[in-house]
Amino acid sequence: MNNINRFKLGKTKTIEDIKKNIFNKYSMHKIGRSKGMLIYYDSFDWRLFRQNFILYKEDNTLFLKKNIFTPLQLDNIQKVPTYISDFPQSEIKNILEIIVEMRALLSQLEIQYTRDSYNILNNDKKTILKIVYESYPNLSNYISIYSIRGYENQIAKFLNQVNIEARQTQIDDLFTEAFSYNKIIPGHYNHKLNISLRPEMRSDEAAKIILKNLLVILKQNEQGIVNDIDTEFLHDYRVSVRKTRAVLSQIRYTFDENNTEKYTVGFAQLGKLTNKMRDIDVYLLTRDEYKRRLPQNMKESIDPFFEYLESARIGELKKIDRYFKTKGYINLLTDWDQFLSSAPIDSAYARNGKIPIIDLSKKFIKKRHIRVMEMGNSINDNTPDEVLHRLRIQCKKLRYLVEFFRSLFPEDQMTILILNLKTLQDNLGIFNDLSVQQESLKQFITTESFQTETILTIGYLVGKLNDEQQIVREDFKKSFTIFSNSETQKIFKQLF
Amino acid sequence: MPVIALYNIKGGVGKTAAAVNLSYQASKDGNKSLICDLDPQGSATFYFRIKPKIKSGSKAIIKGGKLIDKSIKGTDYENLDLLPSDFSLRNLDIIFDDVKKSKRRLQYMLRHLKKEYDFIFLDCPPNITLVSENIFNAADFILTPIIPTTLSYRTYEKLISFFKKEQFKRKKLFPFFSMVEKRKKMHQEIMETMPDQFKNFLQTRIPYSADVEKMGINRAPIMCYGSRSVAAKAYVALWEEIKKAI
Repeated sequence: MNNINRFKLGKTKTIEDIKKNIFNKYSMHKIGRSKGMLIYYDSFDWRLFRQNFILYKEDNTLFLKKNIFTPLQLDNIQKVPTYISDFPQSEIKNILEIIVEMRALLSQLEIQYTRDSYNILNNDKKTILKIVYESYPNLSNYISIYSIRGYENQIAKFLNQVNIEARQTQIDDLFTEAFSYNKIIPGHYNHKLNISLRPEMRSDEAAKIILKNLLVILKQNEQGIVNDIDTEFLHDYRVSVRKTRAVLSQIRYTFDENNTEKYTVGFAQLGKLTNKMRDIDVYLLTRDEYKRRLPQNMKESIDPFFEYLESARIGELKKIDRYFKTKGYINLLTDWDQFLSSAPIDSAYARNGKIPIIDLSKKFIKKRHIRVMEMGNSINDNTPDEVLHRLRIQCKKLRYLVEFFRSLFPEDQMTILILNLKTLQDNLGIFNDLSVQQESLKQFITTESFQTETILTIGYLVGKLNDEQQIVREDFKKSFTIFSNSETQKIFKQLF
Repeated sequence: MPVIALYNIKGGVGKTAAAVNLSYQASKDGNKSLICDLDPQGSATFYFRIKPKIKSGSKAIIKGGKLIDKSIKGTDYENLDLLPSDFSLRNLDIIFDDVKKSKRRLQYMLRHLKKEYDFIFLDCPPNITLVSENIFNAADFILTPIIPTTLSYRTYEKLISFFKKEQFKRKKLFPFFSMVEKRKKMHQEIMETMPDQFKNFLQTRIPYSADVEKMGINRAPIMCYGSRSVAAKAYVALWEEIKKAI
């Protein structure tokens, strides 16, 4: 068998129409039928789809396809590993490693198929073509035609005879159709805010748009956390919670306090609820980095620590799962949603509510920016670590504001601001992580009972982390200088 | 890669049946196989339900290359292709005689196909002609079906002396008994004595069988309709023995 030609018949045309049309020119012999599943895989954030790759499994074979190229193939895959590192060495693995990185592969779509194979015989009862009729519930039917060497010209004759005006297709068409039938929009998950505001908008109205956006992201991630598919779901969930809290506390006097207090408390609770789980995730994600920091003879002694974390994680996950099902949580989000959809109310307390958002945003960003600059400039070699931590929080607040109001200002200038701010934040973030990790490692030793060897290893690790923290601190000057360069500052002054 | 010819000076000895069944068995093992029907009668072509036609006729055999590629047809069986016979092949002798290196034309033509196929089988016309000499040069192994009769014995001796005289490699020759009828006394006698007198004599014997005759009606290798028959099993065994021998 040689070349494959695949044709879409549509939903209404079936194999019976083909049988009707062959008359006495050909005969059709059914060879067999197979049933199975086509499973489409991608990460939760559709990394493969975004790069125009299609990863799918058919029976025990995995295919990776890009555009019109012949797919790469990996045989004997009973179950697709969730993480790329667990893939057998192969070309597919090499590509996935680059694109999917550490993200989990999820089955995004499953399509049931039935395939009937037929030989098409001429009057000498010689097989001149093979066709495979594919049908899928609720989707179009397809036929694939396999030519036989020396009989290639029979394809056109056959298609003409059975009156198929079908156009040649690729498997991509099937997936596109199935996605649309299942109301899945590939590439739809986007954890980046996509807010568009108008300058003259009332501030309370604008704040509600931002908050609504955050609520959507928050809800999108719930199921992923509970199903424990990828640690990124919890991370994005927490970012949404944090940003929601930032809007409530920073864009001040926009809503009536009486209306929002219960949400302020509620969202703070969500942050607390998930703190420990996220900490554990970070440790587990950086397990290899931890091990790399240890000398050879200590590498194994740290294992009980990670085993402890893994079992503690199960408990944390249960806790979150249970909480998500409570009336209190469900009501919090439903009420919040209703509040965000309600009409604005003027009140004495919410004095910022009716101010145009362009004015309010400028005021808040300016205030926060000044504070960041003052604090940053005051830092020298003798400043206590504590001040750097506070600066990190100020930067984060500034970053959120810039992101929330991005659509109100020129795109390219905002991009420069965010990039420079990010460089500074990265430095402060690493500094903070290293410090938090030392603290919680110390905490673990005192509250949990580990073997002496494990305790010693953790102690060694704390020392290592401290050394690294000092190096990162030395880098602070460099990243603050980049941020305080004249161009960035000029933009700040100009815009806000 | 090896080229295996089915050849005998005598006709009607089960040559085509062997070529068809052995090539089928080879392809069933997963080897990409080609059967070239060089006999103008085109029985092998007929057995595979393919129309006897080579694009540009015997010129293709002389020229080889693309003309041959275009003429090759897929059979109904995976991994098995056929180069159909063509009536114009009856003039092959005359045409070969006209060209340079006339005894090696077939060898040149196959050189290119050897890259594509794991096994190439040649179903050859009987008689000793220029075509046969081309086959003797081109084939790596020459399987000779022999009906256990005195006449066949003498024909095979004739073939050996021809090989000697013309300096073809005799070690290419692998005779085996075909169309064996156990109840015939003469068959028994010949089968007792002959194998010891010639080199490379294969042990498997293909019995005379109505099931083999039916290949013409069923137009398929015997394994496809009578896999349990004694003859089908004999062809399978013969292929196993050949694989070991070559």
